[in-house]
Amino acid sequence: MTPETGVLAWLLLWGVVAGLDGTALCQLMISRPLVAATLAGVIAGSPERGAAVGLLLEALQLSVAPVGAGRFPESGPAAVVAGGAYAMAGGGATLLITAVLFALLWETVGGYSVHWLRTANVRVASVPTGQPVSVAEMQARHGLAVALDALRALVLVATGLWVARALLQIVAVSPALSSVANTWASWGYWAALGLLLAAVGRSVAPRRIWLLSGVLGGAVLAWLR
Amino acid sequence: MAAVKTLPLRVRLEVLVRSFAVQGSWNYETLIGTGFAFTILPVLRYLHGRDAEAVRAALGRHAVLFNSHPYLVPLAAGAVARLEAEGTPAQTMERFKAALRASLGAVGDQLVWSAWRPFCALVGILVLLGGGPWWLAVGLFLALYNALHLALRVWGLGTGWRSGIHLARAVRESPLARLGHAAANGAALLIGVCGGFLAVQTASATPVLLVPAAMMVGWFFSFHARPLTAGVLLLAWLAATLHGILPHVGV
Repeated sequence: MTPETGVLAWLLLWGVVAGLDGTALCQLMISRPLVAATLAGVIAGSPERGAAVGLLLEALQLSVAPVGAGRFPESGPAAVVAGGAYAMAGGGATLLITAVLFALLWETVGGYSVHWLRTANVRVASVPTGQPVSVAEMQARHGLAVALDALRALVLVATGLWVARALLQIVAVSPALSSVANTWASWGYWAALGLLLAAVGRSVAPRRIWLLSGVLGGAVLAWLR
Repeated sequence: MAAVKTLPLRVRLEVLVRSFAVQGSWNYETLIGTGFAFTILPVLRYLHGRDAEAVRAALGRHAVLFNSHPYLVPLAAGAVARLEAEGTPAQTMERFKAALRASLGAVGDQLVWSAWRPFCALVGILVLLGGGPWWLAVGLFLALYNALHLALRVWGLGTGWRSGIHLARAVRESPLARLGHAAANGAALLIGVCGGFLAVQTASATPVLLVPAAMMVGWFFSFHARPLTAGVLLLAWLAATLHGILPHVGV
């Protein structure tokens, strides 16, 4: 097994763990982009690159609250894919926003896969209403649903890694990676982060004293550095 | 069934551990119904002993439509366990669980998804923005977040068992609402700190009004944050790749 194959295998495993943590098991929030992408970067040899992906994706997720039975993008596996692929690809702002853009797409694909799973679970996991059910049957149904979720995450991460790495390799060999191009890309990254923080800030506008105090405090902190 | 004053530690631990998998079989028909039956199984086995038929019947009662915030499932499980132990009629338990569905979902969503999680995530984001190490950002986020998460589960099981059918009063008198309010204020403060910090910090690395202008767009069009973010990133990507490619094709 080559070192690269080993990294991919660990990324697959981490992606399944992140996929399961999102809903099925534990919900310790290791599936959050801040954690999932950063640790994907650790696996791939560059935690800082993983964290750069995770930072923007986490800011995007701040505006998503998984209430009730609503359908929402799934961030965990997408963050692992983007963080891992970017960390393996070698850095640079153009590759960074390529990875983040891919993650946005893959989060949507992940959301659809969750919807598919929840629909399938109606047959797999729900038992006849109110009828006595054996312990073995109930536990088997529950366990099968968890296993399906793991398989879903595995396919999502494996496919995502394959596509993302190919995409980043295409961009990496193009003449697009000049320092000026990377400057444009980094401007886009910071503008996107600012946009997201402001959007989330709007949602807490009723707490304007806290918000404004924070803005002043943050500006002073940055100015003093 | 003899009166049960308390659940053995082994049973309580089993319920707690199983509660971490309550959403494993989430589906559009019973939501977390099967998962709730999975979680409460150790209690049913303890209460009904070797009476397999009674356990089957109880499982069938509980594997029906149910929903709750996942971290408050032990609260519901403890209360339902108490009702089972007291021999409460099945219809009463059904109505009790139906009343719990909306309230536990709302309480948990307001406290955890809308307040505590954003607060903890913003702590991590601020560490990264400030140039702190990645392990501090990740570690602080996970430690802070899961401190409340795990405390909620442990507190919930004990409170649910002690309160039984009077669970609503116990939740009303708990500090959950105050905690959510404080966390939401903290999250608002941290969003401001991150925003103010970012605007000043990036002033020298980007065109000076770029990030403040993006913030204004985000503020006024917050409902479209996701597509707008994708649009900004796509524009930057196109600018970067075209800038890199065009000289090579003689433009």
